[in-house]
Amino acid sequence: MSVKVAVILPSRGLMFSRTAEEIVRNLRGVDYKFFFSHRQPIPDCFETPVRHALRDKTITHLWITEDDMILPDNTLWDMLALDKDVVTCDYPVTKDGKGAVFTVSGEIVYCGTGCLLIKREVFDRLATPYFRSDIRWSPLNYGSTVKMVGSMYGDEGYGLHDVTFGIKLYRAGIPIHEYGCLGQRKLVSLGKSGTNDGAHLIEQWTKIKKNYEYKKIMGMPLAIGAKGALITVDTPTGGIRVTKKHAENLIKQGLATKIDDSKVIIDDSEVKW
Amino acid sequence: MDKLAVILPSRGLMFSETPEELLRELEGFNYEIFWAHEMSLPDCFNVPTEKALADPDVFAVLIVEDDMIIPRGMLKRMFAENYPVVAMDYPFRQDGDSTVLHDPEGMAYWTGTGFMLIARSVLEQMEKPIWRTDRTFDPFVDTDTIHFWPRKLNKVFYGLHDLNFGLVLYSAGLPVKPMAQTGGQRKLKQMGGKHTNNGAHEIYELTEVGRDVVSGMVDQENIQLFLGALNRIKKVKVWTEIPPFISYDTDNQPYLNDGREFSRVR
Repeated sequence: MSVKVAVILPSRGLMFSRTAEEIVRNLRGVDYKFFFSHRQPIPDCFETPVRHALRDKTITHLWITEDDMILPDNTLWDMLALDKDVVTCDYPVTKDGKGAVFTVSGEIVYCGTGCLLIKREVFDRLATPYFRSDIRWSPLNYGSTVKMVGSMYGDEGYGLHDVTFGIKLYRAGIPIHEYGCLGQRKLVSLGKSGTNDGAHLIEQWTKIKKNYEYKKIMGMPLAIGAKGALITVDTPTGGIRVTKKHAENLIKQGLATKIDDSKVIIDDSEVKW
Repeated sequence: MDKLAVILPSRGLMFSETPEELLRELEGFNYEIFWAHEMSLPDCFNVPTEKALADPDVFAVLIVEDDMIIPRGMLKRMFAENYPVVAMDYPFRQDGDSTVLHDPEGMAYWTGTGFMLIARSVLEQMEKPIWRTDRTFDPFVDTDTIHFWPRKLNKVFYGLHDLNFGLVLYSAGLPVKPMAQTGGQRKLKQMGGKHTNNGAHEIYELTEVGRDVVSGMVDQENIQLFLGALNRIKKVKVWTEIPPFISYDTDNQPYLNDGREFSRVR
């Protein structure tokens, strides 16, 4: 089957010219079609071009790439070669190196949307809207487990579309694979216009502290309910921590299933999907 | 030899709609983009131009600046002109000004370099470096003749690479041909807020061209005087050095040394 990549490129209106060059270089030898989104707010800047792309039945993959990424040559090619449903790259989202990929026990729970390759059929398994920023996820330390507690966010919070998108994939049992680490560009200051040396001052963030977020969560106090000899079971209303005996009773009655402690508990009982 | 070289100089940021329009224009062409990031003028033109000319497959060079508004189909229409150097006019500083100064025949003394298509042979025959900011051409309208002469600059001025390029070609008998259709330019008014879902940058578009109102040359008060002088022109004389009737004062401003009045248009 031939590959045709939809390049989903949301932008606030300006993009780093080096990123533009790197995107074009990555598309060498690839059949592609651009789907730009200019100056749209989050999450529309993702939702609109993704839906446009999906209307084109010749598209096999959607490559979401943001306008400030540092993309080495062959990044896209190598991501395609992995032949996975979803492939992402990690990159620093803060100056001190917090990564965009959140992993628990080797599984990616969510990731940033800076460089994300998704097969089109993945979207068939997800409810619309694909991207939303009205759900907030609070991670809780459940010992060896992380519980992600979702809640509706009154005023839409900044970003959040990426976390919720990742959790949608996680709930649907679609694993995210990591290809590698990239960097991100940041504007320090605009160059002076009307001069021959008007270059903008741009810095590059390239160092990533892996598992930054996970370590931070594990450094938090244990959540209420996580203490003691409790095990986690999955119920129709989300994961709960119960005694071993109670868990056995719930499982016996078909009210719960045991889940591996190494996995993440997604508590979306308060989320209006 | 079938490759179109696209020269794209950028100060480091480009308006995202410009690459979309550019890629749309390039559909169907065999092309390669030669970028220049965060380089100063005129290097940001010379470096990629030299790289493009080093590629034997390149037959033409398209210069595109990172803030252009490119009308749909402009590139194909430029090729349809079947002329060695063609350029698109666009407003420069505000709506109502322009980057092209026309001669009586409708050709250009000079144009901007925002969207310009040049045959390889033209660039190959030009003195190197092709793009320079250390020389300008001063004008003087004498009755029905416009005089241009080169002046070496002892200070750094903004731009001028385009003016120099146009007048070098004009003096060589190959004036740049302006496209009838004009384009536009994007300007950043204000950066969008960070860490907000509505972080769009505030961008405005200049789309109205005032023919021959080259703001780099004319201030608002002088527009009518300048256009009136242009209308009188029937002959053009490009000097290779400063004409004998011109001298410069201590502020480096030209004046007539034969007693006639010099109406400055710059």
